[in-house]
Amino acid sequence: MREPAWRRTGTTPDYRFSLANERTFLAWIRTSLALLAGSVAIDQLAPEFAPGAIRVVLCVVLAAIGAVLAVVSYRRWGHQEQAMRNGQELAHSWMLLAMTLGVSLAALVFAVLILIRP
Amino acid sequence: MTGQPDAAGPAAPRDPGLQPERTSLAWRRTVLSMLVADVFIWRGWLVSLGADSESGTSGLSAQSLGLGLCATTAAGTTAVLIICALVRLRVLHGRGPGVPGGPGGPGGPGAAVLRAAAASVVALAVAAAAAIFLV
Repeated sequence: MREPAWRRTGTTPDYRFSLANERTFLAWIRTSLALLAGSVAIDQLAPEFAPGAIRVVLCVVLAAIGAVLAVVSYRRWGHQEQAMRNGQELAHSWMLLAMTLGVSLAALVFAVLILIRP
Repeated sequence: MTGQPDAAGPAAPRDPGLQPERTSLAWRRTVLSMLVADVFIWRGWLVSLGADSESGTSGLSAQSLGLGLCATTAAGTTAVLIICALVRLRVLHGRGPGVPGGPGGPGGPGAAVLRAAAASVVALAVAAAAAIFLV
């Protein structure tokens, strides 16, 4: 796997900024892993909280969000480093809003399912 | 292995932000997070194997075989992530090459390392989704 072409543009950022960008990537990866662990854990440890099909769909949706988040974290890391290399402003992150909405929605759905459980 | 504290060597100014240490700990936390996800997938497989042996039929059920595949995939993705972490820890602790960073610090991550780490998480997500279907 070769380094992407943009890694030869601009100036190499200060190592502190490179490492901070790397840690941000890792923090998003851990968020993604938490979604994966949560999806499998809900499926296995709370089998009666919703009818089978609904439970499987919800858990697979959580796992899918985790997968998308892992890909987006890598792309975001690349965009941030490109911005740093070329002295541009760091892009506004829609990931924060998307994750806030996603996690809130998931919490709401799970709360409703627990409340209406027979 | 010269036992020097960081890539910069003794002549470099002390880094009050402890950037390499924080980054190295972030990699360790990430590996631990993946192990948590693995444990649930492995648990599902063991529960299924237990059900097989209780039912008394010889051989493995399709469920156990499928979950075994998920568990193996999870172990493989974790191995990939651990290798990524080890590669980075070597650089952060001042051994081995990295993409050169600014003066006085270890190199930033190569794109290939982070790509492999992200890909291992995607592969784990596939194994997790398959495990959810099978349990």
